[in-house]
Amino acid sequence: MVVITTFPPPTEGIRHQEPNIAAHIKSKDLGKGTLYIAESRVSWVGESGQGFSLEYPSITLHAVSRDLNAFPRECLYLMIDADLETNDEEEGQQEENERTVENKTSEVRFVPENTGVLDAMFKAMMDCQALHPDEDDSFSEDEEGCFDDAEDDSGAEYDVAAAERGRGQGDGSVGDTYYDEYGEPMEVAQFEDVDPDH
Amino acid sequence: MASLRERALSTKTLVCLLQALQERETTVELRNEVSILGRIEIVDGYMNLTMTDVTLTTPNNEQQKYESFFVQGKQVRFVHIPDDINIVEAIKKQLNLIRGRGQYKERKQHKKALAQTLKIRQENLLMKERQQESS
Repeated sequence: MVVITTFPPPTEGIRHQEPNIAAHIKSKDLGKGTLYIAESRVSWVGESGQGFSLEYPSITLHAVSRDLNAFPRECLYLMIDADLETNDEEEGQQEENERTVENKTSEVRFVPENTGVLDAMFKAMMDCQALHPDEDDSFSEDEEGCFDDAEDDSGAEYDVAAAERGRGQGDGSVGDTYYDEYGEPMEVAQFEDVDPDH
Repeated sequence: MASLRERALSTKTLVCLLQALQERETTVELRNEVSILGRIEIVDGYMNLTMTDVTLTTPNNEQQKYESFFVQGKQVRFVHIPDDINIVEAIKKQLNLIRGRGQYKERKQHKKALAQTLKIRQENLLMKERQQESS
């Protein structure tokens, strides 16, 4: 969860740092501050020293908004996969009930004074997002080993025609070695589950 | 293509099909019921999508426009495949692109050269053996 608090700005892995950025959470204007797009998180520190940090996995999407009908200023738009807490308690109380039923998403907008930096901000965030792939993805953990041969499988593409030719020439028993279109030897056994009439 | 791991994901999962949609305009539906119409620019190995000229439609049917757009792969629920795309062909083409035939041929030639060297060495050894036997 993201809580607005006083904290020092990140110092490591900063990809983009931009002063004079107004931050808006939902419709709440937090005033001006400095935006730090670092490899580990996105942080914004206001002029009063208060700010917030967003972790990349919680940033569903980010986009450059130049549509002034949607928002009156050109900005970097972030959709957050979490409920952002503001320290505004009154508002917090009122929204408490709605929050439990609503989809837990929040919107954050970073409005630069100079709109020319938007593309650089977008790019920096995009690069950092790529550093944080989904950790729950089954491929990330369970099947780690299945990628070990990734570099060497270039010729191992399955070719039906070659397999058929192979079957025609040999008796098709397990262990017979045939050659695919690149002259790579391949085991017949790997085609056993293929229906030749298919 | 960035990392080896990303490359592996691209070739061993259907991410390669989505990569075949690069530079095409289509609709992407997200897990939070948001739908996005725009041009797909980049699909990385983790299915992260970078798009341009996007119209985002919220579950409440509100529309917002974005010039550049990035969405996490894990948020993607559906990607609409345009009707004119032949899925099997698109996958094959993309795999060939990723694997880089040129690079493959180069490695192949290297393998051949290596085999040739080994063969010559073996022949030389045999000759020496025979010479020793006869002498």
